Order: sequence, then C-alpha cells, then structure tokens
Amino acid sequence: MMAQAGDEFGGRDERRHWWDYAIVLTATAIFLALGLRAIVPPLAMDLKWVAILGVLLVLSLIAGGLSLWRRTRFC
Amino acid sequence: MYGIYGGRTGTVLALTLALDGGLHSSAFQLFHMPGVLFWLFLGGLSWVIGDLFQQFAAKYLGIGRGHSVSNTNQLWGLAWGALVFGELAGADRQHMLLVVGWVGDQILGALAISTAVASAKENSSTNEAVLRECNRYGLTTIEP
Repeated sequence: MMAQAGDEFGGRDERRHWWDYAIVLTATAIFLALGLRAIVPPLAMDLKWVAILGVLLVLSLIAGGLSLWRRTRFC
Repeated sequence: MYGIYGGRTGTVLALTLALDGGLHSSAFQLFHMPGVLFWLFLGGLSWVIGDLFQQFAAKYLGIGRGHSVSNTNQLWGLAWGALVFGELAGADRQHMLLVVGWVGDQILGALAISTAVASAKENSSTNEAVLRECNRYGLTTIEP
C-alpha cells in the first residue's frame, strides 16, 4: 500500500531492500548464463543492415540520453 | 512496478497455457534451445531501456503525446524486419502499398502530435498535474 501511494521511500529509510539486490543479481546471472551459451541463430540476416541499424540505435540512445540529461538531470 | 511486470507475465503465461496448446506451446519449446534464448532476453533488455525513457515522456509530455509518439517504435521494427530479415522480399504490390500507407500514416501522425502547440489552458492543466504528482511522490520539478 505504501509503495502504491509513493510513500515507500518517503523520508525515513531510503536504503534498498535485500530483494532489490537479489533481483539484480539473479537477472545478471541469467544473462551471463544464457550469453555464455548463445549461438548465432540459423536465420538469414543482412549483416550490413544489422551493423547500420545497430549503430543508429546506439547513437540515438546516446543523443537522446544526453539531451534528456541536459534538460532534466534525469529527475 | 514489480506488480505490473508480474501481472503482465502472469497474463501472458495464462493466455499461452489456455490458448496456445498448454505445455506443448511453441513458447515452451524455446527452453530446449538455450543458444537462442539470450537474444530474446537481450531484446527484452532493449525494450526496458526504452521503457525507462518513456517514463520521462509521460512526465514531461503527458501520456497523450508521449505514448503516442513512442509507439512509432513500430517503424523501427519494420526497418529491422524489412532490411535485416528481408520480410518484405516476397510481398506483392498490394501488401507493399499497405505497408507504405501505414508508414506514411505513422509518420504523419507522429509529426502532427509532436508539432501540435498546446493551448494555455492545456499547459496550465499539465503544470498542475506535474506539480501534484511530484508533490505526491516527493520528486523535484523543473521550470517549463
């Protein structure tokens, strides 16, 4: 109820709970475990466009992130 | 937040079990292909990064504008499908016209929404809503 009302971290103890760390560690471990076993899927892909769109994706993320940071400081 | 994602996952799991062949669904066959699961998770991670930015769009532009414009991510999906996977290679003229028409519709809609000038009344309502929610959740505000 407190979390839904936005009071979960209000003014008192703003430390994260143990389960917050557990979630991050579990998610990271799953990613690592799957990443170590990952293979290139047997699909026909145009790698030239993978590179072009991948670079565009990263550039737009950086540009958008910087713009948002300058305007809002992520607040 | 955890409740929202848990609810989504539970709903999709229930729909899969009920409507897609139960435990024989192709979704569960993916667990027998660990080599490709990573890419699905990576796609989910990319989606969540976009979701984080969408919170700011909702805060500073409002749901009506922010969510509508962010849905142009479908154009990005089309670009990957068409250019990387060649999904439109076998499309006939009618399908191509539908795709081109939809793309134009999305772009024009996004332009219309993103260039629309809010009236003084809307700006006032927006500022009141932002201030109310910032006070409620203990967030800082910035000058518009």
